[in-house]
Amino acid sequence: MAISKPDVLYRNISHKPPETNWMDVPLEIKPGRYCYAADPGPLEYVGMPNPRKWNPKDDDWKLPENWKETFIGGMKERLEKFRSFKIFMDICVRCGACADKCHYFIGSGDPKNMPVLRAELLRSVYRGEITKAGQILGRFAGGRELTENVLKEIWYYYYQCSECRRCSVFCPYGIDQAEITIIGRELLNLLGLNIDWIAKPAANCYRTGNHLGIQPHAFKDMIDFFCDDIEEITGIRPEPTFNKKGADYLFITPSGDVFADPGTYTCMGYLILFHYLKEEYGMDITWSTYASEGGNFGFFTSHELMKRLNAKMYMEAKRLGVKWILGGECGHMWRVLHQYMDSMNGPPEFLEVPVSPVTGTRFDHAASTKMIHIVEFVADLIKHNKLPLDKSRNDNLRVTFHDSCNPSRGMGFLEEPRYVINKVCNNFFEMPLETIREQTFCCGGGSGLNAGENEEIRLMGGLPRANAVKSVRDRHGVNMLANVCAIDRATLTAMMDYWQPDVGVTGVHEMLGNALILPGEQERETNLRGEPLPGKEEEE
Amino acid sequence: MNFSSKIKQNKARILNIWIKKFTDTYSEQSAKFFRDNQGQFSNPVGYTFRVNMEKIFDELFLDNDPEKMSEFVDGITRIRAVQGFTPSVSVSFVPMLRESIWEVCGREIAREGMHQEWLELNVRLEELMQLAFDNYMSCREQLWKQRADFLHSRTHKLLERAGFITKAGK
Repeated sequence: MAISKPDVLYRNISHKPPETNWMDVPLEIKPGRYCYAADPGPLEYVGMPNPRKWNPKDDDWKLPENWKETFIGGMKERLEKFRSFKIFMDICVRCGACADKCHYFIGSGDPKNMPVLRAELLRSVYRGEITKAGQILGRFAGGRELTENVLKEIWYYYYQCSECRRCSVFCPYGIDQAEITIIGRELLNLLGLNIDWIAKPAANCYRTGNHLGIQPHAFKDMIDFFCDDIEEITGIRPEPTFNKKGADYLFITPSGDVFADPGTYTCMGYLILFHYLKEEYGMDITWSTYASEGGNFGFFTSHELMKRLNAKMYMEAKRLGVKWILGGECGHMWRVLHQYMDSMNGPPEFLEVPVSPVTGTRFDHAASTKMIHIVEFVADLIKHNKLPLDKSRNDNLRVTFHDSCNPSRGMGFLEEPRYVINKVCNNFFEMPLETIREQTFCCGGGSGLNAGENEEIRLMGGLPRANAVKSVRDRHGVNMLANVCAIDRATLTAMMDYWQPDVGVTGVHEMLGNALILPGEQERETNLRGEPLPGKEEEE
Repeated sequence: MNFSSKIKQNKARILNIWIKKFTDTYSEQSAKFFRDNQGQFSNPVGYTFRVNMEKIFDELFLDNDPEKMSEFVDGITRIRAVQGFTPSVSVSFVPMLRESIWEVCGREIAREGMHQEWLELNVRLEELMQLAFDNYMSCREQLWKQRADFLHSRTHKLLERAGFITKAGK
């Protein structure tokens, strides 16, 4: 057979994918977009079903024999139990308002990352297997049978949703894809289909108190390291207490702040602040080495596991006998605390309604949960002029702020971080309105998707955020992206390295730690990262 | 009218065809979204492609400065490098530019016998292809480097904090 000439061959190459109905597009599990399967150990430890070694790239996922009945039975049970889920399965009119709002779709161009289609993956099973119309009319009514391939597709795409809820802002019916994903993952977990990046931290948290499984002595050692650094920089050594019975307040933050840069600098900021509050106002705040995790990866597994992991916060507060709980900078931690904790494990009658001992401000919105966010607490301190600040120490920074999805969309926490940032630095610039506040774009790593093996999907999902950062970098010379979330700090750092390498990432309390003047401190030469302060560069 | 002017005169048509060809490498709904949504922030992929493709077109017939070209090409390949395309499809926007120009101006170029000029343009496009390939590779290498650095620094930090490392000197 004669071989065609190169130009003829080239002309015959079509880069255009075939046009097929979405139900007929075969599933391709692409590297860089999926996370490794959960190891059996962590699943066993928390009593989740079907623990075994399996690989998403294999044909055989080692499902239990009655997997289909389990999945559909689980779905029926949840349709009864969660009215929101039932409504979200029934009322979508496929108007498409959400279609182009998901950061993963915007960055990847994969249509099944459109929220409407992601929901449809599960909704089609609901119609085909559960509703009468779907059972009779099948595909004509948008229904389909639950096959292994359909199950695999649900798994693949439900672990490509960061539960950020941006799509729900634009849905005229208020359908919340995050809640559909939460239920979808719960159903997958009935079959042992979790990912390792979620299962392991959840089990570690259940056993040791934090995601990495850092034991109490190591947790304390890490904080001691930070105190060494703070002493070197300021000449003053904070003396934090751990598990102190009879302390007034318990502080709980994501463990990411304790072990992962640049969160560690935020942690140093907390330590400096607490030292100041203790010395000046006698505030006795203690850290727990048991409730040593603010994050809750149970939230990404099942309602039940979320409740179990969350319970330790109140249990530890009760054991130590504190008045109320102060929480660190985190994203999904706050959605759990704000929207679920009170009904899951509260209300804690043994705690008091949070009142700032420094300003007397009563935080009535937390009257039931008894737990407040450190940024609102600090904003109140600054508003009452209780913190001496030298903003100029952050003059090397030109800062913009990334609203983390859960605090901003999930709890309307919009002004407090901005207020604090404006008080601790001189150069603050907002990104375009359509990319911040309620409309903020996810960092790409929420809901337990910050594993090493799925970096590509995270970079695609992070592109809309990076693109907005680029605009303020080009216009205002922004070089620092601030946020109030530990997952943001981890995800955005790698994302900036790829998309905008000259922009760093910081927590708000790192900047506060730099600006806060401790009585009797030595003249600081460097910031908390050990970099020369503005005006001190020549002396290096 | 000389060769460059002839092509530049048809810039809008060529760009439209070029962008259509390139976005058609995505599935139908996505291609439509990338093409039709004009928003800088609501459609960063489509916007970045459009802006940089236009700049590449202009620069090709202006100074063809490698430094500037590299910046424009980076805007496109940096996105393509994480989207799971094969390397050849990732950088296929370069041959697609040649096709688009030929589709619009080919007949006239042939009729007026501008073969030498067409050949010269193809040389410039070959250089652009090399630039795109280098850029694509540097993006992929950066991804792997980021992964390696992360693992290295995490391991090192854990060893350091566990007290297993003693540093010489201060």
